[in-house]
Amino acid sequence: MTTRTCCVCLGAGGILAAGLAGGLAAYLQGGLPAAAAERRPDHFRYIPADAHFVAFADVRAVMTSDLSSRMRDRLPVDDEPDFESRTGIRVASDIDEVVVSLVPAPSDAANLLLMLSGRFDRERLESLAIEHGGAVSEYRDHALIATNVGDSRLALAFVEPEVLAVGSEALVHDALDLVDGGDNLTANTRLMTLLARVDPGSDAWAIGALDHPGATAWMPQGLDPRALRVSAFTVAGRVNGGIRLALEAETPDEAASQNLRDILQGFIALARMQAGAQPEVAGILDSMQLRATPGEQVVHLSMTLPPATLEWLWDRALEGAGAAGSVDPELPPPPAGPAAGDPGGNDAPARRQDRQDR
Amino acid sequence: MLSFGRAAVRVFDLSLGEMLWSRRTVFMAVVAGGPMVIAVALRIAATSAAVRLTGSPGPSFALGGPDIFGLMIWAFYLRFTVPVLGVFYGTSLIADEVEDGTLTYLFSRPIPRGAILVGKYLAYLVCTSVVVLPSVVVVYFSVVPLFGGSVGAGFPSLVVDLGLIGVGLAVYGAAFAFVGARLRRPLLSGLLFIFGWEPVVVLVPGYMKNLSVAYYLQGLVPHAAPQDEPMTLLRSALQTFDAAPAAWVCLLALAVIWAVTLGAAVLTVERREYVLER
Repeated sequence: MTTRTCCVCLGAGGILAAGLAGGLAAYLQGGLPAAAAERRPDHFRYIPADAHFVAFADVRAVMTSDLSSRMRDRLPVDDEPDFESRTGIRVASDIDEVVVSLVPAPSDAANLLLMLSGRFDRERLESLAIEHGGAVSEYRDHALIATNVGDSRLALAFVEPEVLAVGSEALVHDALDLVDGGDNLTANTRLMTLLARVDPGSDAWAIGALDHPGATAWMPQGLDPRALRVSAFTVAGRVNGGIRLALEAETPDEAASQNLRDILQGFIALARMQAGAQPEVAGILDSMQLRATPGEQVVHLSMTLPPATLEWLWDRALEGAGAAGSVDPELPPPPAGPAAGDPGGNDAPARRQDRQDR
Repeated sequence: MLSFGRAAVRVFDLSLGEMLWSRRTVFMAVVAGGPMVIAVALRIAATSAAVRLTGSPGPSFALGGPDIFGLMIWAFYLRFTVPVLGVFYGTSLIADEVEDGTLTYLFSRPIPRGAILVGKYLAYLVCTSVVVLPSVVVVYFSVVPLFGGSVGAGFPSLVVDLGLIGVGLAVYGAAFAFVGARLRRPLLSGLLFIFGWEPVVVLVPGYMKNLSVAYYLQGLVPHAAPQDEPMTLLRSALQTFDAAPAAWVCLLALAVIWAVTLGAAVLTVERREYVLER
């Protein structure tokens, strides 16, 4: 074998070996449940291990996306500044990530915990909470503000200077307990296995295990995925102009997986028949890909929401919200306020108050 | 006389350099470089502002990076590059020596005749692998990260695809080595087989598809085969009562094809009396 032949073979072998080594390293970093936990949000360490639902949103990535700016342009002008003036939080720039978790509660309901990371005006938030009836107490060297909302007791506390825990008081206590270590969400192998299936490039995702009592208590009345024999699910979305969504539903056996796939296929077919006059909806339906993995008993559904369709849906949602907030002619007129007699029809303050009340 | 193994290694050593620096390699580089160019162009286009979907109203990314990679493996490599390289190189292993009139020199050496074919076959495998497999790796790293794909998550499929391409090169090469050793115009027969016979029989119901290599390769790449392509729909419509074979059946069938055709090629070279045209 001549030297140049040898060099070509070694060069090609080198490219191949480098590619395989790089791919293997990426796989080991992202493919295993334990590794998945390591590269997932840091706030997992404040979430109790018995959580059965976790959702994550990279707020910064979403809010700085092109899609978000287009959606904000379509909002009524007085929406965001109000929230900002009250809390000092500018969602678009001050919040980096949000993690939502649900933990089963003895009362067959679910306890909610939100972990928000970003830059917050701590004093302003605490004084706002106190203004609304919150009581300040000390728990594990952290200031904890708790208040009653309906039948629930909610609390908020800063577990780190830039990480805020909000939710059921018991869960905020748990989060503060976990500051010094303990069994956290990364010890939940069920959720970590589901998490390993989520595309690491997703800007937002949710995973949930539904195969134990009380796991669906948080869902709306009438929506019980266990009727379809769904034992777990993952949903992941990536924003890039439009949104690419990937959903996976896990079933206990292959027959259930096939049944679920057939049901979904039927719904999609029915929707396609109905959506002839709506090109935006037809576009979503055309992008849907449905498949079942026989060995894993998982049904996959992916779809793409192009920018035009999202804008259309956003406008419909805003119209719906406007209709919901409109004054019913049958009802007595609202009490006269500063904007009631505005001849130009400028009822923005009244609408703002209405939104706050709601 | 040298033993069969040592003789094959000597022929391999001699043939690899000849094969790698022949004009045929330019053709192979073009065939294997096409998908690379497409992949790199796709990557550049996807990362440029024009195709970042910032204002395009259409369905932005109906396919993710791994889907595109799967389609490229299926359409460019398994359905085109691998069979074409198998035909061009496999049929030429002996036919070129016959055509050039140099087979006499090889046969007059104190080595088993079959070792000549085996040595050349091994040189073909190394030569094609050296060009095609790195090209697959480049395509993988260019395409898979697009539109939300993950290099790590898709790594098992890369390994499977590299293995399948290797298997495809081995089986097609062995089959066409036999054709080259047996028939007078092997290239024409080979091209008819891969572009005429195989595309048709894999679509037609019945047992005819069992007489193709593509059918068994196809059975091993469910992740790469397009799900919504018209051809797939047509195939699924035609194959209502015909399930795809299991992976072990496909592997076994490919192993049998490889062993039978390579064995037959060796026997043919051992026994056949080649008449060189003047």
